[in-house]
Amino acid sequence: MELLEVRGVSKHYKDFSLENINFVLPKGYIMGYVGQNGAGKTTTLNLITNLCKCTEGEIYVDGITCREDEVRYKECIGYIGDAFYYPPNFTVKNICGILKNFYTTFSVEKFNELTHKWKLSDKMKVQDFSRGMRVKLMFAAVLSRDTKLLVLDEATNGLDPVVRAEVLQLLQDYIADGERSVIFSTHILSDLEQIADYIYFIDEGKPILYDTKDELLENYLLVKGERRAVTPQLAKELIGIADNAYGFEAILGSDKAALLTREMHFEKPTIDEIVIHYIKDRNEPGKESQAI
Amino acid sequence: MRIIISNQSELPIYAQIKEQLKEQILNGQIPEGSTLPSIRQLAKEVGVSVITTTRAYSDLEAEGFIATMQGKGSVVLSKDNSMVRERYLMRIEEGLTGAIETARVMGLPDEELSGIFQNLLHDAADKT
Amino acid sequence: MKAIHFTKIDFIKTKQQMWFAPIIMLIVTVIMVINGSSGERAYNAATLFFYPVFIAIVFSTIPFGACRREDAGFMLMLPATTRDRVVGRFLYGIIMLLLAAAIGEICIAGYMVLGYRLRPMDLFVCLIGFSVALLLVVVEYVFLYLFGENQGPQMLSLVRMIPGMCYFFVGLNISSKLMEEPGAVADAVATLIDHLMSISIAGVAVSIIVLVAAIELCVRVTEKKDC
Repeated sequence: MELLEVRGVSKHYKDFSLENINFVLPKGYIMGYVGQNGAGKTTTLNLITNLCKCTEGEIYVDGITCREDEVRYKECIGYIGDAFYYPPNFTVKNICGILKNFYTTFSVEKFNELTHKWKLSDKMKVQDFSRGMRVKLMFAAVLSRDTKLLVLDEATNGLDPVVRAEVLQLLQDYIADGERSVIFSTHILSDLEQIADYIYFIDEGKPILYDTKDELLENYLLVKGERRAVTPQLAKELIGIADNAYGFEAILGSDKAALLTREMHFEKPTIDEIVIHYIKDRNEPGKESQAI
Repeated sequence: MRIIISNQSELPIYAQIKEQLKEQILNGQIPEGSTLPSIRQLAKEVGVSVITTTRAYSDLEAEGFIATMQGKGSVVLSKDNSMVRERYLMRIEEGLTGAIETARVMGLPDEELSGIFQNLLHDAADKT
Repeated sequence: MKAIHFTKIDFIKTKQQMWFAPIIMLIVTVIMVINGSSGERAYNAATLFFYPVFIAIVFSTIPFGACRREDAGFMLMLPATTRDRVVGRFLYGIIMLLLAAAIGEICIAGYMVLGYRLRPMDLFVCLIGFSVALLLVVVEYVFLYLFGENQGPQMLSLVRMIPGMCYFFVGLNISSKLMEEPGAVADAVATLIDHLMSISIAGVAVSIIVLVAAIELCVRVTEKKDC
């Protein structure tokens, strides 16, 4: 059963459009939502959390839309933003009191246990918290209640590697029972790459790639070599050729591997490399922009 | 059970998991009849995606090393299983073919090659 | 009843300024009581009521200024309807006014201890004062809900100060005219005074009707709004 379904979603602003986003995220899996700054990642996540309304399309979380039942829809989503969203003069105690009032499944014991474990002072104002403490507080709040979907908007930005690793562990624990899912947006993939099951990649508001991470990694090769060794047929298939003084680097579909000559070096790419070359490809003048 | 994921490896992660599990099943470190951790548990412990571990397990299943049963998890199958036996034979053949090719390259007569083989068999018998 | 929880959030958010409000109300009113209780410039009791209410009108818009863009991830993600949010915000204003009215009453009581003789008129003038104040707060809120989103702090302080100032000076003048020199104003005013009771009750009724209509309007507008 699909936990999150995004069907033909578009959002139009004066100077930016998000166009025709389609995907499903089954129960128990993690999706990485990837793109450059300004590609539309936050917009998409805001549509999922209903912080903004879709111009077209529908979004289903656990089978319902926000229009059908706003309260139930929001009960089952846990949202962690890029910006720290608690009012600065609140204390952890204030926040606990409010969450208890609003969320039917909120457990004060669980919340206290987590804040205690992470050494989040009860009486300190949250404005005095470090970035790491703030992220932990947001996690404590969403993990203390029964949610189905975690929506993370650049949540690991600006965190030190130790806390990042802790966050990854938290996400894996979260989906471990196979009933709950995570969608996170990021532009730094390296650390989240390992745990993501699906990758959705957008650029300038348009979907570019959408697949399981393993398929993506297998479907592409990172090719390096000298520019003069590139045959015309190969040049047509290479994606996002980056030249330097001594050679080039590009991405190639694995099914086109037969076009490679002996002089070329190829290896398995990272998601980052696939993304970089795709964006480079789209920015090249005269190239028809590819979209899925 | 031991699984080490290397980011430097040319093998994709699912293949690394698969090969390491296979190795340990073949050398008996993971005894037959034992239950492997669930896909989700393994993914969590190793820090890789669920789909990656699912792929490793389904490949192992297709190759006859494990069987996944509803509610019981993934159980390591007996090595007498014909598919596994076949794989063993294939490995032996691969190794021997390699030796023969090397012998041909240096022009070693077949008798001498088979002599080496006999000697090695003796040595191995002495060791055990 | 999630609305009241939103009111609570507003109160926690504005705690710093909130401490300020009753203290100003009290200090200024006490000074007025002491100054005004003797000599020929003695205030009437209703005047004492107007000052804290004026402060409340000014302070009731604080939550609008305390809404930061980043808060959305918290406030808008709470499982509640737009109606809960809007009603909660209006409750904040109403509670502020009631608080101010209570302080005003306490001051009137203090005034009586100092020797003032309360007239029924005082009560009616207070009631009218309260309903006018409620109307002004409603106007402020509707304005802020309709146009307040993208305005700067200047706009906010204008919206905050103008109704409050009008209320204070006009209210003070009229009420003292009414009370102190009924003969000096026209006959119309005299008839007004005759009907003070019915006017005050009608005033309360009207302000409540306007309040309900305003909430409805703000809910509709906010539901339509999008980022």
